[in-house]
Amino acid sequence: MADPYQVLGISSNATDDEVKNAYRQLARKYHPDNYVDNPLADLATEKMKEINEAYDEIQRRRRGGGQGPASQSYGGDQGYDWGQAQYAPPSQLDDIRRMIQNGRLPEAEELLEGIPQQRRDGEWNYLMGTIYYTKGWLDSAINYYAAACRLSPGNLEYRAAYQRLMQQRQYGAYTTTAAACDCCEICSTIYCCSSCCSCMGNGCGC
Amino acid sequence: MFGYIRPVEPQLRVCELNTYKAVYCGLCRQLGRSFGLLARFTLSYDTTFLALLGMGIGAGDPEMAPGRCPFHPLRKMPLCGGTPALAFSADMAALVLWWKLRDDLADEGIGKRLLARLGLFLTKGAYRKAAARHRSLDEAFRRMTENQQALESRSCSNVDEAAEPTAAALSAVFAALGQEEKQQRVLGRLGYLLGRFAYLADALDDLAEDRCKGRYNPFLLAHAGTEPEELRRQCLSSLYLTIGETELTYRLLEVRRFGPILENILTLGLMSQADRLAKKGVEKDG
Repeated sequence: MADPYQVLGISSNATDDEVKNAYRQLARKYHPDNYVDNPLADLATEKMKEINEAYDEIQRRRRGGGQGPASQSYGGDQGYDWGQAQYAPPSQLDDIRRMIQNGRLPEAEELLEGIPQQRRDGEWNYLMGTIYYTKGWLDSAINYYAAACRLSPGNLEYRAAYQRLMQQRQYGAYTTTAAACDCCEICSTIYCCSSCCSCMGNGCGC
Repeated sequence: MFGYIRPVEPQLRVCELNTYKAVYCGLCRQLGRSFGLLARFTLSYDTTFLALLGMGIGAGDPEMAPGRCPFHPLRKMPLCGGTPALAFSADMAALVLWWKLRDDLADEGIGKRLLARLGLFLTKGAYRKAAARHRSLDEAFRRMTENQQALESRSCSNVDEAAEPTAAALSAVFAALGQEEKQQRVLGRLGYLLGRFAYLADALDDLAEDRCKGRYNPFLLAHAGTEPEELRRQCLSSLYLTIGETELTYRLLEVRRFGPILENILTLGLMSQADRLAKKGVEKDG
């Protein structure tokens, strides 16, 4: 394993707070939520795992090694199941979703195009948006995500994808000072959405 | 590439700025060595970024040594040298220029066509050398030019589709910098997004002129009938969307050196270019 301090970008005599800060910053940067639908999502997950392992290793060493507590870190480790819908879509779209995850974009797009207009629901628009997002056709992607949200207003997955791109559209890159709080904004929006959803019970299918 | 991929210099530390200048001058010298004195005039920020990125992920440390430049003969300045990334970027500069001139040949203006002929005559040698070294990339640029002309002639009104040829060509160029598969995937997407950014930035830059002269511009067709102010907002949003995605992609690249400079270019640099172009439009419309 690589030097855990090097992974977190700090020196080995950093204070506990510095370790925690460095870890939090990196975890936020590479969090799987930033890379949902991204063709490079696997690399982000890998990186996240590396960061989590480094953090755990440092914790273990600082507690005198040996028995140390199990995983303190969050996210990533168990692999983020970004591919699973929160509800069961019609089976054909289910297959297309798996195709997209396996990178078979042209076939998936062809199949989607073959579905008649009146059956193009939220899931259809979301999948279409994902294909365009993967290709780098960002303006088209955002339009399909918007349509998906319009057709299925209660779906959290669609909303998160749409909001992520809308944030980018408004503020550009995250790392500039102005954008530091926007990250929190995304989190809080998602958090609010999710708590609203659970308030209303599971009836809406979220 | 059109010179939009550059740092915000006041936000660089002094040592970083010096490094940036050394790479800039080093690439200029490399252009001279590869293709002769005249080629030095094709030096651009975009190819400098390509060199910087190539060195940033490359294994060997680049050499930094003071040297003299024929354009500033009185004082010695730091020059960067001794890395394959410089030669690669110089070759790309030659390919980009040649295919840009080929594209100009199809232009309607007689003056521009004559200039393009002259340019092609002058750059033929350089192009042949560069193309012989990078057959597949030369092919990528040829495809880019053809596809671009085809979609312009059918007045394509989809912004994403209009940016695709440039983005795809740069994706191939950037991926060629990579050593292993994962790195190439990240570089490929980074190149795609930067190509898309450069193309869209150029379209925004030419917005007022294209409108007056009735020339092809994807933004004008995509947002036909929109008020100029709203139109500029839409363009800026498309650029910001691309910048955000570029930054997300860059995070996944393992960089050995020049990290802060590259980050400056890809966040502050791109944002400030986008803002500048959107503002420039305001003055013209006003």
